[in-house]
Amino acid sequence: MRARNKLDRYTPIIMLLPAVIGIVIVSVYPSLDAIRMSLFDIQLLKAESPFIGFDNYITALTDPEFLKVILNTIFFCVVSLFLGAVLAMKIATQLVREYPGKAFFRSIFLSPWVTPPLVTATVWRILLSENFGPVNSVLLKLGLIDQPISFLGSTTQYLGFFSIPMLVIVVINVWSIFPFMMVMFIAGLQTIPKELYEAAQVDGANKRQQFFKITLPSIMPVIQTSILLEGIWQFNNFNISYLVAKGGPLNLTKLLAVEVYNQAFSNFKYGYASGVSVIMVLIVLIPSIFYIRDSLKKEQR
Amino acid sequence: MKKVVGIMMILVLCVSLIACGSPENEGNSTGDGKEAEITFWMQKYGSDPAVQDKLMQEVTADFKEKTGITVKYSIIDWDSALTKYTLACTGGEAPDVADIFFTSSLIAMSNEGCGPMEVNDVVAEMGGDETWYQAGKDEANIDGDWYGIPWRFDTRVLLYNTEDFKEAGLEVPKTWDDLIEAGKVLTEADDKGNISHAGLAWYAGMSRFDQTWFTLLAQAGGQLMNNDFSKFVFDSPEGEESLQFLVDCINKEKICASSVDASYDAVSEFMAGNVSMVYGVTGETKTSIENQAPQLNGKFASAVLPNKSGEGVSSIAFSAPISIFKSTKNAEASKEWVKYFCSEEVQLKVSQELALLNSNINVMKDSYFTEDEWLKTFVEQSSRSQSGDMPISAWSQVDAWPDGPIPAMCNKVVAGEDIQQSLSEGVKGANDLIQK
Amino acid sequence: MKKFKKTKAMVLHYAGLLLVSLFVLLPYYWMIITSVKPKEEVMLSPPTMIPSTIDFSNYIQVWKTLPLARYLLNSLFVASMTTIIGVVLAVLCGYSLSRYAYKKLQKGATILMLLTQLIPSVLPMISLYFIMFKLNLANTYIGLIIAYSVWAIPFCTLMMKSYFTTTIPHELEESATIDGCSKFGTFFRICLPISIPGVVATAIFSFILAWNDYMWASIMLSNNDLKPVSVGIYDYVGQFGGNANLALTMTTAVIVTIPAIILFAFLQKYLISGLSAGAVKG
Repeated sequence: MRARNKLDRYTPIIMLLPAVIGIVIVSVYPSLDAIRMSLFDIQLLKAESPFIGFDNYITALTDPEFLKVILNTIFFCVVSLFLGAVLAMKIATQLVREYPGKAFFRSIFLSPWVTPPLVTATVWRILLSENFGPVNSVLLKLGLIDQPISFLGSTTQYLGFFSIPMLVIVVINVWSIFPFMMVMFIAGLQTIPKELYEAAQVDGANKRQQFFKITLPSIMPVIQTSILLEGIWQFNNFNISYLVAKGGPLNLTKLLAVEVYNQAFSNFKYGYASGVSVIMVLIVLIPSIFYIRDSLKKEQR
Repeated sequence: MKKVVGIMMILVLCVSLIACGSPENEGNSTGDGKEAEITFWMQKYGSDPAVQDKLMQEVTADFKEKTGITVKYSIIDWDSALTKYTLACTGGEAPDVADIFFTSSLIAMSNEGCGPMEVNDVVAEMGGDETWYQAGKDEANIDGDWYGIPWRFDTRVLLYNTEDFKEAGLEVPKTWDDLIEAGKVLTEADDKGNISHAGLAWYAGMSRFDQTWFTLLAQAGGQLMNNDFSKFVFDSPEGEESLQFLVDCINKEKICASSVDASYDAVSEFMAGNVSMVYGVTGETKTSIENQAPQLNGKFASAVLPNKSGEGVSSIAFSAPISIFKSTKNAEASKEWVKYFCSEEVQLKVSQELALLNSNINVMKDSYFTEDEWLKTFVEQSSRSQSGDMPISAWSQVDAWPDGPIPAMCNKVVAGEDIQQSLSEGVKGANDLIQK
Repeated sequence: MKKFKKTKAMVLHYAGLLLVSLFVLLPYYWMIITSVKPKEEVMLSPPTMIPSTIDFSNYIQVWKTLPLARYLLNSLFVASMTTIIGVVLAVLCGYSLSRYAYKKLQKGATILMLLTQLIPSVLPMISLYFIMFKLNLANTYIGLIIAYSVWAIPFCTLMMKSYFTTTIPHELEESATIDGCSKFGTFFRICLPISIPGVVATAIFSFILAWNDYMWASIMLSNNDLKPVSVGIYDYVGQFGGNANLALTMTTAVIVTIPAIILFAFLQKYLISGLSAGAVKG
């Protein structure tokens, strides 16, 4: 009996230990190592790795090209999130209504999530090809344009930093991420009691008012969680930018994660690459702190 | 009771995992003589993976019969090859023998006891220096020592549509002027100037123009670096001229439809009949066309690239070595494999199956190359080529795609930026990388 | 009048869904028709929207040349093991974090989970590779599985934590404890069975994470036998990354993607019910 009580007392700790240990070894230690590397000038092609303090960071932050990449990443992240969330919400609200075919449509819309990123990038690249893609071909046939649009090659920059290729990358990304948000939203919507809507209808509220006054507030926590998580994931997104156009044309679609990759694996500048990734974490930390504080506050309730 | 069951389940899980994990762990060879086994990494070649696999099975089986040594080969895709070799040279998992590139860089970054091993003795056994083309020597011989045996060879030629040429009554161009002439005749554009059929396309996939530019630089008589490879000197009149020519064909003469679009592929456009000439294709292109666009069979051919004057160097050449890694536990077996794989007989077979050219001069003299309509152009071109890769350790950074100074410079220029400025930025970037 | 309104609503409903379906399905449509076009039709410009005849020879060719069955099995094995380990650890940890959220250790662990989400995946890869290599785990299934499980844990733990917090009434646990049940017993016999939907959702998330990863697998593996599907597709990308055979690439894409989609069509019900009931309220 006593033995059981002792084990019992330690049960909560035993339960959480494996996960935490795993994370410390696989995520925390390598990340700390990377932070250490960012303070040195580590280049594989050079024999020495002198300590240089914050030089890597200064080099990065005073490089106008790098600042453009930061802007690209923020733009990409914010716009993908916004469009993805709006699309996901629209679909989610429709797919909780009592119309036949719910399961069918949900299955279709889940597909982008299970498609490997390489397949996504390769197929979309073909779809948007000037001479081989159906998008241009249909637009031409409909007479909307008289010359194929070079979706991934147009280098005109609007308002200083965004361009058609960047918008294209955003669209492909929205295609890829909205299923996850849709699923989160559907789950949240299903918890709103129907009586609320019925009462509102009796009171004469139309669909729009119902949405903004009942639906939105009820699932605001779900929206916040999804958006923050997706926000972090999209800020760190590497696949779409690298696989579709390797950050081109002319670095117009280059995102921070791609920069880290190029610096580490093509230029062998591990120190600098680590510095860039630390900068990424710092940028994303700012909005995240609010979330962390918020969710810890909820614990106290 | 349930708790015990739970713990048992977790234990069983762990045990089965470990059991699954160990047999798959290849690691390096054992080399204890009884059943020698070595690992060999090579990249993908050819557009049909089955061909390469079958070839390697045959070659390794034959080798085993002759020597009793088992060779475990792995075929690596290009996208991760550099990373894997980098890790291999800095202490990670390394093969016994590998098909490497950027030799100079790999040697520079190698830790103690890692990286390519010096193989002067193997070279001596195989006939010494003169067995291979200069480009092969440049890539495998660093500071006087050989670090690998050159095998594959790559030089670029002109691909053209014979029907289009016949229809227009054109001869194969021999000079830049001829090229522009031919291009103008073959290009069809509408009144607004939009090209519907281009005479020419630069052989650039995923908007990578650096290698095309190297060919043009060579054709203009220019050099990338000075003679002792200490400084980049392509901000020369030839450098400017070649960049100008690259861009002019697109913008001024309007015979070229190339762009920085990632989805634009010159050979695909050729297969679709949108382009009459592709500038700077590889030996493998013929097989590609035959596989993907059988409707073009018999309607295309290769020709030596034109250059500015009509004579002399008109293309670039690349070579790559087969190297033994210092971390090998069985150097003897590895050397046997290298000698076997790089022997004339095996190299001829490899070149045939994988549609590759060869660095071994004798192999290229075989009738397989000299009597084939498509391939003999390459033999001729190889005597009119200069090295495309520079034998310095920073080369992999200078030519890193897409961010290295040279590819970036070419892209900027094609996208319309000022040539003078891009050129000076490119040279400065390249020289900075050597100084650092 | 009411009937008209109803019909109008229904039409709009389906019209909207169909429009989005077009957007979502376009890539798959293109993949499939390119893979069945006869060879002469693939490289046409502008392309044909509907194949003139259907030709399955590409499938036979890809199936014969690529060891796709092997790759699919590899992916299945790695993803399944990741799911089992990840889910077990995440569920245990999530329960602990949920029930003992007031304790310092649990609070710290929660923050740790949240912080690890911020780390871009490229950052730890080099150091992690060397750790794996020193442990002789390079080029093994275990090396892949350990990393994937740990990468899936934070999100899954947080999800399970919310799930446990909002779905399990304290009274249930209290009565179990009064009856003499140990803490683990309460978890295993009472709370877990109720939380199956949440567990399933977590499992699906882990599975997809392991299934789709390319970078870690390509860094770790050099042995062809161990390649998962996400790396195996690269077999059709040739030298210099370009000039891949378009038809065969699309065929490979179809073989690799469509089964996964069909599988998830069946699983989506569990996924959604697993995420609801407050699991997502944060």
